[in-house]
Amino acid sequence: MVNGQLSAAERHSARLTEFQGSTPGTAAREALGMLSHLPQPGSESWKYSPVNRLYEALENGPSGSASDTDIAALLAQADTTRFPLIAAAALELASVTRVQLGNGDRLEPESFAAQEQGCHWLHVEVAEGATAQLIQRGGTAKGLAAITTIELKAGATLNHSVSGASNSGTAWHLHSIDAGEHSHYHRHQLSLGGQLERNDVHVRLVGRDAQATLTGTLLCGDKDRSDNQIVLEHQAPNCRSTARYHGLANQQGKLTFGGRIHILPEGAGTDARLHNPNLLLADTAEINTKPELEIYNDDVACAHGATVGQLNDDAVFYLRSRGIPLTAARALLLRGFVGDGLGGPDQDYMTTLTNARLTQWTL
Amino acid sequence: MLEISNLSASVGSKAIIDGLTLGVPAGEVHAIMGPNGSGKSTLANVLSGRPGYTVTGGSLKLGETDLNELEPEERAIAGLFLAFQYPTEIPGVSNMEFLKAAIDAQRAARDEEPLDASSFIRQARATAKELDLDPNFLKRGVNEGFSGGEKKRNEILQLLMLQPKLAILDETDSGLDIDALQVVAEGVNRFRAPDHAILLVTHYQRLLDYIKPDRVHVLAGGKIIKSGGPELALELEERGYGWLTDN
Repeated sequence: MVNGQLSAAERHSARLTEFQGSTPGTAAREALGMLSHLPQPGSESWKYSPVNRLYEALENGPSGSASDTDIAALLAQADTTRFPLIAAAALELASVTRVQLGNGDRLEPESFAAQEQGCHWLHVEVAEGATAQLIQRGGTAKGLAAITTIELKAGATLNHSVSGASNSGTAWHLHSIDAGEHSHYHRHQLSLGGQLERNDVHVRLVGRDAQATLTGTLLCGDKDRSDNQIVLEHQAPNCRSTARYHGLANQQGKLTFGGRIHILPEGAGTDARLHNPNLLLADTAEINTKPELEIYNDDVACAHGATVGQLNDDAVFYLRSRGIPLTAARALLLRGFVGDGLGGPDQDYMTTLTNARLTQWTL
Repeated sequence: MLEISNLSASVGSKAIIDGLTLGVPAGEVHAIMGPNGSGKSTLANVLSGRPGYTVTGGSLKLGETDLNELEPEERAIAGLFLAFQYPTEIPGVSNMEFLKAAIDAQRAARDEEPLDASSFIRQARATAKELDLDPNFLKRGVNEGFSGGEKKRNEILQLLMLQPKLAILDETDSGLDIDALQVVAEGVNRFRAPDHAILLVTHYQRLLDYIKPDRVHVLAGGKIIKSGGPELALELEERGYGWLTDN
């Protein structure tokens, strides 16, 4: 008891006993223990989104109903040291879905938006040598946390499209991807922002010669907050990763991008590239970007960069001088800026969403 | 077709054009020559409606249309085309997409039928070929990574596709080698027609060997100080501008 109030861990513990019996299971107790390591508000990786608000939303949301086995599985599947918030999500886990994808499979899980508020975990395993597609649409309109973990077995290829908006409310999306030997992970991401949205992507290249190619389009307008943190972790030799995220902020949107290439001592022969070009479309909008390198092996080739600019007046005039009206000229330039960021198995849908938002912005 | 009368214009707070009068009738090619800083490019930009260039007096008319009242896109729809001295690079927007958007916008504004996609592509490819441009050129980003010559040829490609009434060519010959100059000149000559007018802004007589002007004007100090036939360009080539500006 602190100042007459229960601590967070005590509150979680009290709720756990409701469905796990009088004594929480081993995994639940482990998760409870992790709650004391939750990031502090304002700490480096949470500088631009209020972690306490996300945590409170998780805690005040509907109680989870996960078994101790599910909690244990989630804690084992993702990096709880890097993302201690997983512990809070695990304790409130409302649904667990496990899918194995074989060659030629295409999975389109029901959109997050259709799910009840709470924490949802989807685990996808792509079988050895298989090439598959995973298409996730919609944001967490009501949901609080959506955790997706993916394992690519040796030689597997996954084309993964993720798109959506959180609209109202608070949302945390965590995507944790483990890429095995000679596997290839392709990610195509579109985020339309939300009242408070935090997107964490953690790619671990765990087998030699694994590859990851990430493209993203991040749009943030109204009074939205969109915080996107990407980690590319090279744990094995000769892996390649490229990430290119295009950001656009308008109105009073506050867009944050953090991209980190992390090369472990085992990552000899790594080739990693990360780029984050941004356009700031209004004086009242905000963009924060921080590309980072953390390298513990000398035999690597790495490049990272970020830019923040405005729409080029000369380009706008050039288009207008050919008869293209101002709003259409701006829309054309914004679409051009997003450019090849919109690819993958759900390209048409993502393009439609993007064009609608950009047209709305240029009117 | 183009009637400029007693035009004054400034860039920012600096007056550059000062009482300029010029008429270019349909079917004619007029060349504007003049020393550096005489206001040639300013005139081209003022005609196109570029932001930052302000008309402070006089009038600009294309046919019956008062250009000064119009936004840049409305001037294009009225039939004005400026081939830029330094065409802007627009990464991410393909040449094809750009051309189609321009043609669609102009046709829609004039209540004309839209050009169907296959006719458009056929026409664009044929025109690119005439200008010695690889068909892949149409798929590349607008002017992105183009050489100087390619950028200028791309301006002529747009001219031929858009078929305006008045074409203003702002130093289209600068940065071109002889071969490219010939290709560009052929393109411009193909545009010549009884209902088209052309205003060539140039430093050198060289371009006029390939595009024969009907009239040559000398611009200095923001106004036309001398006009004459094609022979005036030859005289300027020989004697420079000093004999005109020193008076």
